[in-house]
Amino acid sequence: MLNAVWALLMLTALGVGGARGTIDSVGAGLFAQAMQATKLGIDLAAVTAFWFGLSRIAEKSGLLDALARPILPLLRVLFRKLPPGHPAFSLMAMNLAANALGLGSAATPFGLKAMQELAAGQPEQRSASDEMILFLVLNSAALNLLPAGVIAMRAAAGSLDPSGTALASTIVTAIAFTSALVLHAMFRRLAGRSA
Amino acid sequence: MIQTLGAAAGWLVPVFVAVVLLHGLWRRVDLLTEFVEGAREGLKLALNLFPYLLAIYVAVAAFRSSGALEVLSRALLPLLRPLGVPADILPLLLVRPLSGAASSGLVLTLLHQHGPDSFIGRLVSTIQGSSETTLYVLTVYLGSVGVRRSRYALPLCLSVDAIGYVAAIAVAGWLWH
Repeated sequence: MLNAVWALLMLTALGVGGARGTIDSVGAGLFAQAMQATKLGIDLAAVTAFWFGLSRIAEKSGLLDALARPILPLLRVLFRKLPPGHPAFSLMAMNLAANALGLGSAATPFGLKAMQELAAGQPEQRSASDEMILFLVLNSAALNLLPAGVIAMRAAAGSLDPSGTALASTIVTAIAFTSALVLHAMFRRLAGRSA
Repeated sequence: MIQTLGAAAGWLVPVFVAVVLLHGLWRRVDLLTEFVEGAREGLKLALNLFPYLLAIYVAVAAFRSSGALEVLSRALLPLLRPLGVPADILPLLLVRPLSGAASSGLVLTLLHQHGPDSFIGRLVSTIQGSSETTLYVLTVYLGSVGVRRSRYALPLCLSVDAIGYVAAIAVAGWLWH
């Protein structure tokens, strides 16, 4: 799929360039753009490395753990079918907290362990349970308070206001998060019991 | 109101950094050791990302400079204008659920070409900051527990993505247009 998208972009550019007489600037641009991309890549590497360094401190100090705690009550309401002490709860909370702070690298291991715990109580492991799907959609609606990756990219691109879109992202994820809950309830009803 | 919020957002990163460092100090984490270890992982990630960035940057730049983007956006205008979708962000909407690396490369490309503080720059930042690589998450998470039938997971997650994109365009238009 991605391969097709990339090939389509490149070949269309070359084809249109040939047809419209802009092939000179397209050809000359290829290497110049590659060098531009490299400069950008180095700036991005610097900012990413800094953020990962910081996120590792937050993980080791237990800060992430502390931030996950307020999420637990909400999860208990959303996952009513799970018994209150289910081990998946704290793992899902850690995953969502790490995601909210843009610490994607820390989020994935917790998410994978949470899936294992959800699968353990599942008689029919071949198909996804309603709980698994709810966790997945909450994860992909990605309630986000600090889009660290985006802030890093904006800084690398020379923005005067790198965190200026953080609030907008938070508003959008709040809308997505709410619609995820509503749509999950609808889809679940339509799908009926898992066959 | 919006200016006040903008000023508050400028504090977000410095305050977060200070909180992380002070909390680490309090819990006696070896700050520098852990920072360096994490930064090393970050460099590895950036190195993995770089070939994608290169590929997508060159392709998008060629697509623009050949005039193909102009042709495409003129063709799609009747469809896009009522929805308020700028043609420049179309590739991002298509790629975002498929690949984190490719969409990061695309966002960075658009930020660089339009300026990070332009409307397009802010819009793609909002979209990237509020969405996930849905297909990747579904594949990896369900695959890790051996689930074969994903049932309604894919249509559900993609619908939520679509709502997120529409919301991002609306919020960006409201804040910055």
